[in-house]
Parts: sequence; structure tokens; C-alpha cells
Amino acid sequence: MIHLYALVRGLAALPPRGGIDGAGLRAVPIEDVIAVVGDDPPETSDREAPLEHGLAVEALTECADAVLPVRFGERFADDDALVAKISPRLGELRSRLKAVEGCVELGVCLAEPREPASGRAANGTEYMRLKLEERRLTEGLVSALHEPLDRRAHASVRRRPVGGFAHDAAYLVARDDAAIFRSIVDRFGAAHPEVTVVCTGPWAPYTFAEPETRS
Amino acid sequence: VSVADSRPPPLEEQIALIELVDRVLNAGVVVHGDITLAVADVDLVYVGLRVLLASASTLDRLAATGDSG
Repeated sequence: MIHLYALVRGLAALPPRGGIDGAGLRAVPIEDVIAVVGDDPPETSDREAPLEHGLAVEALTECADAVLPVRFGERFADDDALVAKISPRLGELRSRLKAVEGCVELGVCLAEPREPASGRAANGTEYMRLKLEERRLTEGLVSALHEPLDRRAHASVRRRPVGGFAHDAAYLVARDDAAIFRSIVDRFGAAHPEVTVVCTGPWAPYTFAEPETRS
Repeated sequence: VSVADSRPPPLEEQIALIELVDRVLNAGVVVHGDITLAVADVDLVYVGLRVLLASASTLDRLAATGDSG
């Protein structure tokens, strides 16, 4: 079995860091698109395998012009099976590779304010009023954070925030703009010490590799 | 790289780790290979960690500001 890590264009060299369990990486050219694969280790169900997959993909972003990360867990019997699966989709994959070329993904999370004023409400009416006010404040903060970042980005995807987050989004940003993008987040954090904002990345553009799979 | 280090890494580093694994498991190109690994268990572990971190970050801020309410 082989394990698929990413589809890339403009691959200068394979990264010295291997794949899962240190498996060596190999380039399988499919016309102008290159599939980067590794021999599948016998046991890939342990908890570190997804992390190692991710680190291999991140290493590839240093070695190729455009990288489409493949979701963890895609395995094929051999190279022929892989080529048969990828070939019919080359057109679509090329256009996505073009869209992410020279770009990185940055993640931005905003934690909800910790001590909501509604917790101090004396009665139900006041609670509802404070709750509405809090929601307006949070929405205002999210817009103030998101809008300037969105203007810097080629694309953005806002995810439905899980518990504790008011904003959780991914931004596709030109690699050269990543530092400016981070400084916008930092400025927001400095201007709003009442909330916690975290910027992660640069990542390979996972969220923009298959947009229709994200909400 | 080991995720089971003896001392916990700083919060930002932990968030970065979760963010990476979150992307690896939930995003990226889906090819529908011969075998797609079942990652349900791993997925649940990391989703749980993500929720935990959300509350950890607010706790951390509470400690930093020294605000006892």
C-alpha cells in the first residue's frame, strides 16, 4: 500500500524529513501534477500518524511552488491505482493548484469574552437585555477583526465556531503578506485586551484545497 | 516529534498542534483512495482537545489579568 500526502506543482526536491514512521517520500508524476507518496507503514492507526502526515505536508510547502494537501488516510494499492484515480480530475486539480500557488493558510481564532455581563443580571428582563448587548458587542468585535483580514486575503472560510470561540476562520494569504497579516491580528489583540485572539500558521492551504467540503 | 513531552508546551504551541491535526483530519483534498483510514477515534480525541483549549485560553487570561471578579 502507498499513502498519499499531497499533490504539488513545481517540486524542486523532496523534503529530507520523511513521512509517517520516517517512511521515505516519493514523487509520482501524473502529467504536470506530482503526487507525493510514501510506503504505507504497517500500523498507521496510532495517534501520531496524522501529526506526522501534517508535518510532511508542511515540509513540502518549502520545496514546491504549489501544494494541495491531501486529507489524512488516503491509501492506494500501488502507483497505477493512484494514477487511475487522479487522472480524471487533473483539470480541476490544476486550477486549484493555480489558486493556492504562492499562498499560505493562516488561522485566526477569537475566544468569547470570559465574564459575560449577563451573569450579573438581577432579573430575566435585564438578562435578556444584557445578552443582546453582549451579542452585538461580540459581532462588532468579530467584524472589526475579520474585515481587514479578509481584505488582505485571496479567500477566507469562516467555520462554525466550537465552544468558547466567537470567531474561527482560515485565510488564504500570499506568502509574502503573511507577516503583514499577522501584524494586523497583533494590532487587534493590543487594541482589545479584553479578548484573546490567536493567529496560527502559516499552514499548507488545507481549507482551500477542497472548498466544498468545508461549511 | 513526540506529542507526549514531559512538560506541557506553551498554550500557543498547543493550539498550533491542534490546528494542524484538525486540518489534517478534516480538510484537504479527498481522493477516495482504495482504503480510506478510519480516523473516528483520533478525530474525537482532537475535537475534545480543541474544546478543552478554548476554555484553557480563557482560564489562562484570567490568571494573567489577576481579575478575581
